[in-house]
Amino acid sequence: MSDDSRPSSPITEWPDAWLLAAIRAEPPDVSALDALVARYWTSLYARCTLLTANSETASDLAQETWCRVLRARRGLDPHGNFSAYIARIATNIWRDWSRSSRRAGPLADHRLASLDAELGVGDGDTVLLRDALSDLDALPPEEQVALRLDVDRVLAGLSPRAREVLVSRYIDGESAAEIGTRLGRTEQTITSWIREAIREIRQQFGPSSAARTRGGAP
Amino acid sequence: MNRGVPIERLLRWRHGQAEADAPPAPSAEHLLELARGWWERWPERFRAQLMRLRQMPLAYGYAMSPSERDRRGHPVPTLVADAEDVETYTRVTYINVREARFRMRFQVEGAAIRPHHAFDAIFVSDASESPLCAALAVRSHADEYRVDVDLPGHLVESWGALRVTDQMPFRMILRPTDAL
Repeated sequence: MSDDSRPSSPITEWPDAWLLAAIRAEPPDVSALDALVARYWTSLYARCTLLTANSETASDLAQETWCRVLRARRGLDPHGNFSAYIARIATNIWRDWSRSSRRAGPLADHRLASLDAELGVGDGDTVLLRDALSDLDALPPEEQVALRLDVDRVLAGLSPRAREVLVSRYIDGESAAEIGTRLGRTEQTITSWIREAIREIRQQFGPSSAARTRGGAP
Repeated sequence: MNRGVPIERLLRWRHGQAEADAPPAPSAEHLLELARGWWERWPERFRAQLMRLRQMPLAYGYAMSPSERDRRGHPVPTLVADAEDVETYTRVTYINVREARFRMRFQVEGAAIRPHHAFDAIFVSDASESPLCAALAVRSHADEYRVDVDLPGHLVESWGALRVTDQMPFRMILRPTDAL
């Protein structure tokens, strides 16, 4: 970007395309990078929290994601969807990190056929809490803390792959077919992974969780 | 009464909570420093390794018949940058590019190379003074190392057409991660 065309608006208001163009330059524009990091840091960290189920690892993963982006910064597409790009980088790194420790667990491929048979479509994708809550943010603070601990415990009990597909499906809004294309798996396989993850969540949201969300003793 | 909370709502709620609790964003300067590869931190050593690697013949020491080469692929000149730099070759056993994701498995030849849990793998060419790309190569079963990395856009098309039996358009520098 030439000085003549550099916009006069505050850099924090620049669209992604301008910031990315400035970061691609040699040397990169540090102010533009600060603005871009600030714009995406919280959402990236939140995604990493769901993927890792660990706040410290989430912070490391988010930071490593930015490092990976910066190492490839000359190839950044200013007109691409940066939000989706950085989310994919984070997911890919998380997959790398978890691959070495991944073991054949409850989501092993050979078990999927039977899982399809066990779960009907009518099961839906809900978790039973004591009350039908239209707004979880409306819960009293202490109940929000309890529910959050429950969610974290349940997520931590899932395999890394299960968390990944749940985030792709429910946070990114990807279809099972789209996830399957990305991971080189069939739509049916991804659907089975999601169903199994939901079933595990349901099982782990047992009576003690329900008790905590209504504020009573577990 | 519907007493269920959709998974999506639960995850989005937790996502929102995590956003609210996010630590301060790291500074750009800090990230730029972290993002520097070892070849940028020690450019002279990288240049020396690059020169040494380029002097290695493409099939040094390999008297393979054409049929064997077709079956096993061409050896890739490789420098293992351990305590001292060791010239060797790697054999690509699997290569695939899908959705700009580069997946490769390879074996390091030569008994003198001790196995490592992982290498920082640098892919270089004869035409560029900078690495084509860098990736973590993690050891898996059968003494294979596995690479799974996002490929720079300009390489997607050409590397996407590669087969294991092709002569690879790169040479490699492998640096054990515990040496970084």
